[in-house]
Amino acid sequence: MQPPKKAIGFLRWFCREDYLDEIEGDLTELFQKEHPRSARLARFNFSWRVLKYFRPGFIRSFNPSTHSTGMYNNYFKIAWRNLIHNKSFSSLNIIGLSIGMTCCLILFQYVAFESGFDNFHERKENLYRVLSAYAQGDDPMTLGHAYTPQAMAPSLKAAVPEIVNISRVHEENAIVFNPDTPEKVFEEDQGLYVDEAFMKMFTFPLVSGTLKLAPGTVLISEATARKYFGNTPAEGRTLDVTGNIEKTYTVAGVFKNVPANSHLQFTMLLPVEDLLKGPDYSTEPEGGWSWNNFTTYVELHPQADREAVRQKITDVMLKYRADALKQRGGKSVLNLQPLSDIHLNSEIEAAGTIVSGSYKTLYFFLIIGLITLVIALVNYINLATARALNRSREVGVRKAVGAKRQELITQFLYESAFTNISAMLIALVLTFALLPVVNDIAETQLSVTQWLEPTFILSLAGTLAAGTLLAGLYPAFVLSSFRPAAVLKGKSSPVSGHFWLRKGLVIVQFTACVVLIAGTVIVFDQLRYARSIDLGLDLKQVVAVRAPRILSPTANRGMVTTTFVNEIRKLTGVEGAAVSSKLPGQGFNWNGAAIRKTSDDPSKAIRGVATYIDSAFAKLYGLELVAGKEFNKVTIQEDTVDQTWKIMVNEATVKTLGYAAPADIVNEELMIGDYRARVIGVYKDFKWSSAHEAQQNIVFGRTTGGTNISVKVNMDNFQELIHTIESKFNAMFPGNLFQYSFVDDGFALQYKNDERFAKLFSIFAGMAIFIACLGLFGLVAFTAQQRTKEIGMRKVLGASVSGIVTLLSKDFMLLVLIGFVAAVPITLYIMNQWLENFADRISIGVGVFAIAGIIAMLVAICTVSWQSFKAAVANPVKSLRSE
Amino acid sequence: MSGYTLGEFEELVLLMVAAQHDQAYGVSILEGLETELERKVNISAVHVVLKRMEEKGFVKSRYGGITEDRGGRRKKFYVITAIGKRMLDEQHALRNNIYKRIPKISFG
Repeated sequence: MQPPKKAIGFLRWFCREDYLDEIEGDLTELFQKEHPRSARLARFNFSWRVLKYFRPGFIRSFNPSTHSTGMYNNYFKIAWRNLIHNKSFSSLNIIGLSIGMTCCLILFQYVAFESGFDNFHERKENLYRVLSAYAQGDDPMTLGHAYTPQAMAPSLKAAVPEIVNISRVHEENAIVFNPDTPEKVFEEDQGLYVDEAFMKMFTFPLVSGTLKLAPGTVLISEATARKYFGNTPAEGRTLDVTGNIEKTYTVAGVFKNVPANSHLQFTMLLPVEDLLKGPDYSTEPEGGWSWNNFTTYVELHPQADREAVRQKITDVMLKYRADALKQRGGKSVLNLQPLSDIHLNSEIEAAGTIVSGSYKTLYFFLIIGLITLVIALVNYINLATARALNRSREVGVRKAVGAKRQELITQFLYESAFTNISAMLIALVLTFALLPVVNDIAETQLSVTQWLEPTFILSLAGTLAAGTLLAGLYPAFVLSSFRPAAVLKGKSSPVSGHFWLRKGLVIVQFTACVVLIAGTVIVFDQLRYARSIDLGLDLKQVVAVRAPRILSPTANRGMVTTTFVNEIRKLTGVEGAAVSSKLPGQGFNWNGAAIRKTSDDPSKAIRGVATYIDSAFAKLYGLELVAGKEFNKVTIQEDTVDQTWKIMVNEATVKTLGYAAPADIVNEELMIGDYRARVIGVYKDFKWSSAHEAQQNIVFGRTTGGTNISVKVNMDNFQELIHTIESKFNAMFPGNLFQYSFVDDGFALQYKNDERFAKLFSIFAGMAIFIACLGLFGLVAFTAQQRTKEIGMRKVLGASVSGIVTLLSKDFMLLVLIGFVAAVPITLYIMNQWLENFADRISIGVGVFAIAGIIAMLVAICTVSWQSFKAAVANPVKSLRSE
Repeated sequence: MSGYTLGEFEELVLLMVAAQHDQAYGVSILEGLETELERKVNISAVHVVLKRMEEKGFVKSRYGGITEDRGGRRKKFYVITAIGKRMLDEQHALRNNIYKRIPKISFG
């Protein structure tokens, strides 16, 4: 029968003492009357009513003394009057600050989003990903990659007691349909094979069904369930999945769609046991330690020592692998990567769809955000000290009537806080409006809900506090230091000594601007260069058709693919067709293959990559043969790697292996991994991957049944042609999904991240430049105002308009010039860091700085001369008459 | 007439204070109004109006004794003052005057 304690406590805390008896009494009485009807409602009503009293008039005074309120009110009033009185300066300040803050807020949010990946897992502190590091011979050990063999997880779990749970993850890209609606076939490219422990380790909440992932069952996301089963319950229904293996699964459960801030993205979880029983993995040699296709996640006991566990798992691995490593002349260790590090450490490759960010990009944006904010704050400092002259009388009078310096500083800080808070409010509105645009460009999912998170509120408060203090402290100290006797006599200009500081700040601003402009130019230049690199491959007019995935059990993949390709070649408008396992820009089937001469020691092996093509591939893509001969046309499947394995290599391989000329390697025998192969021909070097990748040692094996069919087409009648191909495909491979894409589009996708970076970079650079111009504009306007009389005199004595414009502008142009000079080394340093991401890169030339310098100059000239011109053409009679 | 006019809600509260002579306090006024108006009334609104009218001098207040069901808090009773009464009279007279001028038209 007691009213809610918290509500009463709150009421007693804020309410005026003299009202408390009446209000608390009345509320309690109402509560007692309502209580018998519904206790819950009564409690709710009580709290709600208490909240309604939380308003002026009922809130008690929290000020320790009434004297200080008066002072603060006065500060507030003066700040407000100053803001209103100098509308143009205040708006320059507030616009500049709010844009700077908007940049900062958006970037903070972006950084918070990126660094908050995988935060939602309850056991995140104990979750790690196993990294496997390998070094050949005396090479230094790297951090490694996240591909591990299937046998590792069970061996580790059995041998290391600190491991609570362990799960393998294997990617799946499958054709899926609901047997009740076989005409609706979908591609699921975000499937994962996992161990049962996966759902125990990670927090992906279940909507319905069970977490237990027994063989033959599947867990699907809410969206996937809707796609296949509409609004009917999915549990117990079946799905036909054809990917690495072909099987019908029963849906065991439905989980909530994977959130955007999870590094692992999946729509479907399949039991890894079924994959291992499939045709590929059941034949894996070396007891399942041979193929590195799985990512292994472990959950350690909360008290486990990570370093000790790392040592233990390395020992377990070596127990199985020591011999094999010795044979290859390499050494290997295992590392444990914390879950929180996975998203941003994008250098590490792993299985499955991984959303990868990058520490570097993050720091870049954080720095740009801070630079914009600093430029805006510098504006404030500059304008505030410049205006000090006008305020000097006010300060003099205040001091004369007894204001202490302390109080004056507080007053100016108040004004700074006032401006900053107004700017922050505008910035919040702007940020809210701009978030969809940023999400569109950056492909993030930033939302207003993030604003409630403590980190965001903290950074907001931090920005406000830093802004107020940084921008306010200096002017406050300068202004409050005036000696009243001197300023009231009005003889000295007390701020002249600070002119150098203002100049210095303008230089800093323009240095930052030039860095940002030059940076933008370099980023775009590099991207343009990367796209224009002569690949040595002709990707134009090539359409890639996905080979069928569902075949009847009796069909030979090589045979049917060849038949289909031959059919296509006959079509008018088709200039050629070829089969390959991968397409240019898609990487390779075999990364990190150890290649050596058969006579060499295994530790001398070089690292290469391999994929499979057919005999028509080279001609279709315009590969140039420099030695030996091409693959023969074969009708049988001949892509098995055995004693008679024939391969093609590129020139780089020839050189790295130490052959003098391409012709020398022809008919030589090489060891590719553990397989013996004979080189039959050498292709001229070509670029298979983006400019990020250096020239690799590439090996081509032969295939007739690869996953991609490249078709070189005549674009004249493309729509009709693709329809013909589609109908042929559907007739030959019923139940399959016809998918095609342009190879050059696919290749360009490799630059998607870079393009996104370039766009964001240029936007923020633009904003920064705009803010800097606002500041310059204000400063020139102010100088012109200060020198009105001087200009008037000069004009009366016969000075020309152009002479006066030059007089006013030249000081500022000098500053911009100095800023430009200072920007050159900074740009070189920062942008060289960025360019290191690329193996093929431009060198930063004079041209870049010429462009950046000219842009910065032009912008500055426009800003400065507009104001100076206005001052120069003003009628001197007006300026000289008034006193 | 004084420069101040009563708002509708103010007038209702003041009438209620006058009607419950010497026994009017927050809850009783609230309940009185709710019965008359047949709608929910905010207790905080009643308090706000009482404070405002006390400041203007239309009502005066005194504290009553402590009762059990108020959690040990005193009641604050309100009584209408002479000025308050005059305000009500003026308002009433004004309305009556205008009301009387309505021509006798049948709305049947």
